[in-house]
Amino acid sequence: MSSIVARNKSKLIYNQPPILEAVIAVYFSHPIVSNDLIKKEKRLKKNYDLSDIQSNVTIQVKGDSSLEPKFTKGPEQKGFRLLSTDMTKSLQIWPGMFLISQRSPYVGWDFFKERFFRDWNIFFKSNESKEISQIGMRYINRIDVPVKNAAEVIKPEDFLTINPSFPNSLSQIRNFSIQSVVELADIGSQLKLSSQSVPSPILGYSSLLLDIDIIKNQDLPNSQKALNAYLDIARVKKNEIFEMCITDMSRNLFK
Amino acid sequence: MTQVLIKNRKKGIESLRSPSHVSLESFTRQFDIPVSSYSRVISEITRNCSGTPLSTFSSDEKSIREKLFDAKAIAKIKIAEVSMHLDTKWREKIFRQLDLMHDDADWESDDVPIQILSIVTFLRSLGVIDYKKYPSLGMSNSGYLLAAWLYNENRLTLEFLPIDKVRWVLSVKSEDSYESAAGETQLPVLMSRLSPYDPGQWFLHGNN
Repeated sequence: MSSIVARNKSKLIYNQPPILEAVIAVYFSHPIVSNDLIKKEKRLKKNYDLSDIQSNVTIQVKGDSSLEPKFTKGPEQKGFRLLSTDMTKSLQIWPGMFLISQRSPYVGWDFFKERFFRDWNIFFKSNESKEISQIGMRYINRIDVPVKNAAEVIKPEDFLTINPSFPNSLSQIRNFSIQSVVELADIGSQLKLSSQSVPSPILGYSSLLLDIDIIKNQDLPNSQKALNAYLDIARVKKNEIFEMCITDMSRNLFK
Repeated sequence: MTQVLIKNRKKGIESLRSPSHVSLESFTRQFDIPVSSYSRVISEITRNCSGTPLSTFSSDEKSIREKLFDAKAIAKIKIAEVSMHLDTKWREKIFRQLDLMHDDADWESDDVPIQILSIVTFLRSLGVIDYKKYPSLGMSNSGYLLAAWLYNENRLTLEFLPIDKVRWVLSVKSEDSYESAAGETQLPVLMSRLSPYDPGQWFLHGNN
């Protein structure tokens, strides 16, 4: 029964979705000047409980074998981070980036996208140029598998369909990490797909991470309508990839 | 009324050592900051593949208000990582009590905010303790999280120390006298240490 339900991918809703963090990040071709960014932060503040300034500093290190390394501070970039009091909802705005994030508990795509456009439409007034250079949609999932005792080793292939492959004599995998980049020609994007074992935050569990990052940096949307359409398509693709990468044993854990 | 309510913080609360410290009204504040192994894993991923960045969080030593904000924020982010295993009411209660413990209005400079390693142990206890009855939460003056249950006149308090260590103190009424017990143990064997006292009376009796 569960596998039949699971294969009806677009209808799948889990009671305990394993999403740790969902992120949409939009990069701009032309950075926003500092004063404009401050004005935008003031307008966006009303949607969040907290706001603070973030700094990004580049340090260059030069040196060779005979000399002490020389450190040079590069240009400092200021951005803002806006947060809900429970820290689960955040927005980061930088001269070159708009990043919205939802930490667990994930509230669903409709709410997440609604929040994205609520803030996007405040960030960019309708007459402003907003040429996009890259869009990223990233979902990090953690699959918590109950184990009988600390010595029990779970088989990643029981829960994930993307796994490291080893010779039989090396089959007792304690930890692993794999990452692949895959072309998604049908939506003109790239997929950065990672899976790895991670320490479980709960005693009596063993955890696996599944990180799905869909990146588009060509044929980018040039209107809000096109951006909306792309985000919907990327989200459907993300769900397909997620379902392809997990097994029914995983699905049973999210019920 | 089986719920212990914590209204105000009190100063100078020592960590649990013996049953004499089971003053249920004496719970309060504190949290700290180390980076979790999970966060490290995430940063590794970000560094290695230069993909879509996550919503990062960092903190510096600043004013008391900022320090408290950072401590609460890091604790809440840590708790959010297991929110798929917490029901909404329980999660909201934890957040509310964290806010109460870190009220900057009566915070003093030598007070210690919550230690993140204590939160880590508390979260790991979700695999051991069935929190059907939500405890009242407080904080020792070392910044360790305290959880207290009251069932009739029987009391249990746990103090979550770093690295899966738990201090426990209890008092139970048997006929006309009270019996007290205390100990320090590792999380995996906590329930067996409490078993002579029927721990289900505290954990399993639902919420009022």
